[in-house]
Amino acid sequence: MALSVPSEVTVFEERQFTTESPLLLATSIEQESYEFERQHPLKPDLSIATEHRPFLEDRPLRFRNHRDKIEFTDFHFNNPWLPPEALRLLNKLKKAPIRERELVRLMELVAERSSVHFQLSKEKFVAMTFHGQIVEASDTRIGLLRKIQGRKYQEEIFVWRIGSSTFSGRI
Amino acid sequence: MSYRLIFEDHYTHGKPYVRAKVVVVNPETGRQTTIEKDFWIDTGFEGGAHVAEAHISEVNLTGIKPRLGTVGLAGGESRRGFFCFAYVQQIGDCELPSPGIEATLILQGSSKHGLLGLEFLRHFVAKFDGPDELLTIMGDHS
Repeated sequence: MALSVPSEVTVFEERQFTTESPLLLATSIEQESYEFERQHPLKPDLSIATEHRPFLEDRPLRFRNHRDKIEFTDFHFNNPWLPPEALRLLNKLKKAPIRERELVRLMELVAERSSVHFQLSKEKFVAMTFHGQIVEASDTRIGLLRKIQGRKYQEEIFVWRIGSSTFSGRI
Repeated sequence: MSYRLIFEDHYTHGKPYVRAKVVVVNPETGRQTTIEKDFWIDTGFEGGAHVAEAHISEVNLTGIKPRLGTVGLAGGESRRGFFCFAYVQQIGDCELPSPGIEATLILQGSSKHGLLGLEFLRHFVAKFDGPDELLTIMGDHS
């Protein structure tokens, strides 16, 4: 009997190919967006009068069931979008302790992304959660530590100096 | 500005060490712990004070939780370290005016001696006499 390739195998390969391609594209777009955001910090455009309401053509833009505040339940504006490697390490950290090298890498990734997201000025000292939320900031490391000394936070936090790979310098 | 002598002593094993007291205070409860040991005056260290990570258990007794961060080592490698706010209260036999010199305390590694760095030294005039192996620290602290 001659060997033949079952049709399911072909279908599986096609599916696998079609799922990987958009993922790669999305990653590339995300990286480009990140690089652009990093190189072009947002600044207010003086030509735009922000005190007016949003408009569509000549008419003001109106929303159905308009409310004063739009609330999202599963999305937090005060957290930056973290890169996949950081999310993977965070998930790993939730399950068990991770190696020191991985922990340092996680802090580096979160701090770098968070400083871009919040456009923090260099040489600023910040305390942040592992999800990138800033809980405290100061111009000096002593000032930062004095502020957070003895305070309790719902999440584990770490300290960082923006624009530097280390907090304390050479030892 | 006139400075007075705070500390003067010969190097130990070829290095400028001082005996010092570093105190961590919980501002909420007033509980505190004192770390007293030999500290190497290290101008290559940007922080205030550095002690072994094993001292975390003493700091925890005050209710203070040192915070995670990274520490850059001389070889360029980054390591995990713990940070808290502390006071340097004594150098050699000289007690500094209360509450002491504010300092970043880094708990990392396992070295038996501590380090006092530039953040601490900016309050003093330090003289390293290499040929005589003599360390002199002067300050305007009365």
